[in-house]
Amino acid sequence: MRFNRVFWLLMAMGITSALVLPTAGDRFKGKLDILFVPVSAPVRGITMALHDHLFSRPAARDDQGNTQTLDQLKIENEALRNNVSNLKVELDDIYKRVAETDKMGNLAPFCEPFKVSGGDSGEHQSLLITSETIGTLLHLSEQMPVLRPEGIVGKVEHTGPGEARVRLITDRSFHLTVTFARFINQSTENIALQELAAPPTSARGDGKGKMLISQLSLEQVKEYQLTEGDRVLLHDPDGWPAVVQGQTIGRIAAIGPDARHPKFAEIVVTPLVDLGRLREVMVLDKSVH
Amino acid sequence: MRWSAFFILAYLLIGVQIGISHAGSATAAHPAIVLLGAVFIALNAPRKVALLACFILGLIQDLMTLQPLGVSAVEYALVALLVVNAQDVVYRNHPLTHAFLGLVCGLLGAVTLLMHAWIYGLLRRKLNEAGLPVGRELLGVLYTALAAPVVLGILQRMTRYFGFRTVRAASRTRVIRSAGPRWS
Repeated sequence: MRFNRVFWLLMAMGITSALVLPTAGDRFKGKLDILFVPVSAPVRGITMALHDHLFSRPAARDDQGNTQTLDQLKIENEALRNNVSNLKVELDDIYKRVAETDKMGNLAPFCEPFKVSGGDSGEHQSLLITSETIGTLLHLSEQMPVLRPEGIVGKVEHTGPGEARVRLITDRSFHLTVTFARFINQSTENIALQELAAPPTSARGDGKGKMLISQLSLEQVKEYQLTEGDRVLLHDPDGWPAVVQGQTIGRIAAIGPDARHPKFAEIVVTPLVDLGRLREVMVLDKSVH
Repeated sequence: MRWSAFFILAYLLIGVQIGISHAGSATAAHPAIVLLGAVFIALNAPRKVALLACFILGLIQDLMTLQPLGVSAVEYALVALLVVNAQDVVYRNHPLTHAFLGLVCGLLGAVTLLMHAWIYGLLRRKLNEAGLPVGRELLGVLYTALAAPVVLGILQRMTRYFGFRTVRAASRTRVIRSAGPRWS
């Protein structure tokens, strides 16, 4: 009888914490994740290798005889395109703010690579990142941007000794502001990035590996000529450091009417790479914030 | 139940769960391995121990995710409540039992998570926040049911390391003890 009371009290506390006090347990989180890496890292490696073996597309050979899978070539291409969009925005900013030139160089010197050791064992979209040396992670703090050569990955959410958890941009509680751009083939060898006139708008993760934009009306979509394949770039000066503005969020995969608000459009944005399958990510160091 | 064995099991299962989550793709469903661990405990341990152990298992998992503390704890405790009551009517070592329990408990878990996401959204007025993808959850339930015969089959072979004592065995011991030694 006494056990039943204790059990239902525990259940009531669990429900209260889950629904009413969602941040109650945050201070305990991110402290023990590192303990699970000896199990999760090899399991993840085996799972990804199995997935690659079963589902990867046939390899292609280039002029130099190097063999790469089509997925690898696609990722390399996307990384180069993202680099162009980032450099263009960066260059524009340099023209505007010459005084800050030193800060606006290539992002690489400010980034630190981290290995992905696992995903989220719950229902959110996050990655567990670890470093070879425990001391490296100690200077990481929450809200630090996490990047890949192909674009934005997310933000650091919880940090612990030797590990940190990254909330992916596709997680269902992730919000950021974006603009639109398009690559235009000016000639066979010259590809230019054209920024579209659409105003900065809010994008949110859908929890299914994509992001949704639903604040533009169908008329605006038509007016600004947004189409599938257009690139979606970060434009969020309040929440993100200046050096990552213009980084790629993804590409417009579909445009259709919003089911709840028929006059508004629902724009589906897919990241350039599958964020759940990343093996390594770069964390932007605090010094550039 | 030997709690040391339980914590080793929890460590391994949560480690595997973190490893397989989204390893195929960010959009892909994955089996709930920790939930199968909860089913295993609830299938073999006495009622009180099973309920408490499953709640603790969920609590440990909650600490490793971005979801609020208590979601998995309540989910696994509900699973334990369901399975504990079925202990005497199921054949614990049969693969079909495992698959069926994996399916039913996976569905219960999915419904709990969907309800939580829905009520949480209502309470926080995050109406523009995307809900849980129902299709992926249901696919995850299917994977869980498929993985259940393998995972529970392996775990059922290791029951002796957990030192489970069923209610029947415990009451039998009490009766013998109360009778006292025959030579006294």
